[in-house]
Amino acid sequence: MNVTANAYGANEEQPIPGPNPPDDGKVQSAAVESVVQLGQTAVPTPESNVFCLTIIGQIEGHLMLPPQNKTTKYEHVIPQLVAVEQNPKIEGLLIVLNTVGGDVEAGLAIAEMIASMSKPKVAIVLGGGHSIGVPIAVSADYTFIAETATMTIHPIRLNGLIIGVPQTFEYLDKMQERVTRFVTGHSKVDEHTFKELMFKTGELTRDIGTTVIGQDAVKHGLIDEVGGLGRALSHLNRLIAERKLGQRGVYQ
Amino acid sequence: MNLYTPMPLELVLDGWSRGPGPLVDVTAGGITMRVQPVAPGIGKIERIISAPLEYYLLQAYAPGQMVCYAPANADTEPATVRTNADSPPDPYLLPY
Repeated sequence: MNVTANAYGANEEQPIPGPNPPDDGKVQSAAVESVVQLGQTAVPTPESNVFCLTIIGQIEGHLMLPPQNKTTKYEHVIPQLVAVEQNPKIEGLLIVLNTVGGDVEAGLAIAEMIASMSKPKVAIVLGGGHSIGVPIAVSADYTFIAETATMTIHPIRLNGLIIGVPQTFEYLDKMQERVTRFVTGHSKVDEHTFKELMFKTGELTRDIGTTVIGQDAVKHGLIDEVGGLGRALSHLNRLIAERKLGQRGVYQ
Repeated sequence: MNLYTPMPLELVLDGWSRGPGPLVDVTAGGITMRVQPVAPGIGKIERIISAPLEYYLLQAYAPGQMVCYAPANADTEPATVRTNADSPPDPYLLPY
């Protein structure tokens, strides 16, 4: 027996690979199989080259939301994105969205960070990608939406004390413009269509705006394709392979 | 803060006046995190304040996960626990 240290620093016994074991006709267990094939009992677990980032619930910004909210905290997501970009073992990012929106600043910060990453990234909208979830969804290189998933596009509103002066509306317009510019710049939807969806009346019961479902999001150019996890992962792997080929071309 | 969400604000902000529970800053193993104590020496991670970059990719240090910051035995260096200045002091949060 060889004694070697494993990844956790603990010593473990390893058999010395020898000749083929006698075939006694019995079904060999997975452990025995690994001893035969690899010469060790600890089978190495495959390490994924894709990092999955889930954006769920409310996107929490500068203020902590009450505990009944499920939140995605931007102060954790942003260093995560830096770590993904910097880690050589991670070759692609899969963003899974099921969010009801949240803080404008935090959402746009996450979207800008994702868009500026050099590694391939694919987003998939499941359930919902509402309000500030829209810029996050379109920030990826390629986007998928589940057939039943929805995206609510509606105007930004102000919270707290509002002063009834024209400047308030100008400020609100500027905030809205930030979202509109990002979405139109990172997807195939044009500004006119996006604003039309945003200010449409008669669609939502408590607000103005539109809820686009699956295929409609693709039709308007917000999302690239209707699809699920399998399609999203295979597309991400294709982007990773293309990037590797491109890098090899540069080195040669 | 501009909340851009289709959810009714009265649902999102319900309980706002109660504020977050008492929080403590814990430093252990090179990580400083803000935790919400749930039992002596055990807390729920609210957020990581500073840590090596790779720790942000580990699920065990994600917000909402439970951590034990009490020393495993007497020889182990205890974690540094500092009550957050914004939170009311709670004697059982300071076991060291």
